[in-house]
Amino acid sequence: MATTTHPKVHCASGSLTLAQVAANTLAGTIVVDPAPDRTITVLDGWLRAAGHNAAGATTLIITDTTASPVTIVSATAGALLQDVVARFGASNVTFTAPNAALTKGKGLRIGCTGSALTTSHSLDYLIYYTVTV
Amino acid sequence: MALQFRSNRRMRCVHGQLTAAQVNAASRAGTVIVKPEPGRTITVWDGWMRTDGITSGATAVILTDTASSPVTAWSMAVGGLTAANVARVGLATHSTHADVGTPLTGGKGLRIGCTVGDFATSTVLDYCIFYTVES
Repeated sequence: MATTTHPKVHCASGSLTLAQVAANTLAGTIVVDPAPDRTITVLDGWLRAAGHNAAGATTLIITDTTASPVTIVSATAGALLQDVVARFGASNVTFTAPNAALTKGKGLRIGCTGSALTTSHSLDYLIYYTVTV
Repeated sequence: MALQFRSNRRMRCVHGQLTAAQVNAASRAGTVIVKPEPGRTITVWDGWMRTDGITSGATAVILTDTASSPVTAWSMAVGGLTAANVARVGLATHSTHADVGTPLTGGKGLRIGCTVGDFATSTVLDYCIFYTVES
């Protein structure tokens, strides 16, 4: 169990428009490209609504890019307040699969459920993860 | 100790799950999660813990170095460890983190244990610790 490998932490950060969050029939937009034979483990991160509190969607989700995606983080729209950092694991920001290795060869995407995200102008995100071969 | 200014340090992470028995091992000194390496000094910067139930028995779960007189980088009182909730460094009331950001004992690793009583009721502890390593 103990490690001396000191795994590197990678980081995906940026801002998505509402259209990008609702793209692909709400499946959303890829924020970490899939890489063959690489396995991602999400460690931590946060979401933040910009421009206005979030509304419309039931939840905002971070998933892997498999055909039947694994949901890693699920945040209710009500948890995404303007300019407030909503950390994974905070109230109404369910961190479903912390430390769990995701599907090999798949990336990460951010989308939503129920209906499109509205009222906010964009969604800021920061995701810490490791990559193993 | 004031934080020293350095830039472009590569952040590392150790993450996993310990059983209650592993947290209670070695008379509650716990289980090593990062092995000691001669000439390397670890500094813990951030992290979280999570349990599968309300935690009882112990006073706190502690992250220490592996020195014979260990330095505690971070401790989380069990009141902060409630079922499936992520308890972070800095959690109000429950987190003690005076040595987060302070280089630990040179040449030592990291371990997770507990204090006063055995970690109980919860059966597992998930952890994720962000740290840097310097020679």
